[in-house]
Amino acid sequence: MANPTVSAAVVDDDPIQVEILRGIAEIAGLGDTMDLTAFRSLGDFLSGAGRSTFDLVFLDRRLPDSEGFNAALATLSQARLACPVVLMSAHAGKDIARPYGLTIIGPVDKLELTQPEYLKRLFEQAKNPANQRNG
Amino acid sequence: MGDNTLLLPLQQRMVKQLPEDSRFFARLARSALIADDISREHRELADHLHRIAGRSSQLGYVQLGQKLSRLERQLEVKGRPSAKLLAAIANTARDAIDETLINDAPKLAPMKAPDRYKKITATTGKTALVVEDDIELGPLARSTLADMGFDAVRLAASAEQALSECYVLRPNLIVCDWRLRQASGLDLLKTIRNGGVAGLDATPFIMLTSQNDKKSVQVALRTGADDFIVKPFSIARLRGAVARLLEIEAPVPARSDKDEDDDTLEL
Repeated sequence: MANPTVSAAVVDDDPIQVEILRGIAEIAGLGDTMDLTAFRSLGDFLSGAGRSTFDLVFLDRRLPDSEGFNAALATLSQARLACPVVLMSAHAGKDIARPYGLTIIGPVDKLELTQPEYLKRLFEQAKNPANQRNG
Repeated sequence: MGDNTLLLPLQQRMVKQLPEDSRFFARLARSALIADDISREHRELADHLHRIAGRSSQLGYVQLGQKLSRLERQLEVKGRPSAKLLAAIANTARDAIDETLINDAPKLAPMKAPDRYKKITATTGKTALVVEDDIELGPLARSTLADMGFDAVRLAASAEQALSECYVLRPNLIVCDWRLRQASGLDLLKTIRNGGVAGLDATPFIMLTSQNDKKSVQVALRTGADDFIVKPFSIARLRGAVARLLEIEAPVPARSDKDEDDDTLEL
């Protein structure tokens, strides 16, 4: 039986980083089972049609319309995002507020995201119904 | 991860972009020092540090990624940095990238450059390469050239590193110490003049040396050096030599300048 497809959003304004993530997913053997959509800003992501259908969101700390995780998480919380959010940062502070009812993973060092096995585990977790909120 | 062929094209793109990133940080540093309001420079520096730090780490340039990441953090901690600090951080980022270009970037391709690697080149403005293993003179020569307005100036500590750098930087000028640890500056000069790096055989080459005897000067010039500067040298002497060779505007020391008399031998 084929693995279920994972639909992930990457919110990052650096197109190269999106390509890197895509490349590593390929290396991890997730190429056929992963559907990855890139958004250059939080606004783009929130206005994107069908955002509620993602299984996982990769969020960069620094975006054109949002600086730092706290503001972005507050916005995503207000938008009642149902899926887990992976915070991508090499050096995020430890004072990230998590009171928003979101499922938050990380902050994860971007270097760690280059490990195919780690990415695989993330995607497996994303498909776990226990990690999905009903919004 | 670094040698994974799926990521190699991305690594190459990143490395190809690095000279421009280096120039960007240098421009930003200059701009910060003359701007009335550095908020734009602050934002651009933070954005650029964040971006390059992330990609560098992910593409296997971990050391560069960590250095830039530390600078990004430093910038954040400072909140509203002064223009001087902002410029210092930008210049440090430039140095970190330049080091990577000298030490790590060539590993992506064999030394005998295939066509795809020759494309990794500075395309705008003039670039210079300083080959010097002295920890004081090397940075001095480099900053002198940077102050003269070169878009990018890189520092190599050996002839071998210099050759690698030549493929990447395509320098418009080479300033090289004669006595290096392994292959000498004279060996590098011969290699360059004999077409060891395609297209650079006529690149202006200034030899630095502590050997000021007539025979050494003759050997260097006959091998193809365009100028010969005896160490210790003054900034004015180096600036003058560079300005003459590249026919660019720079304060050229007068013939009566003491430096000129000190380290130029009449043949």
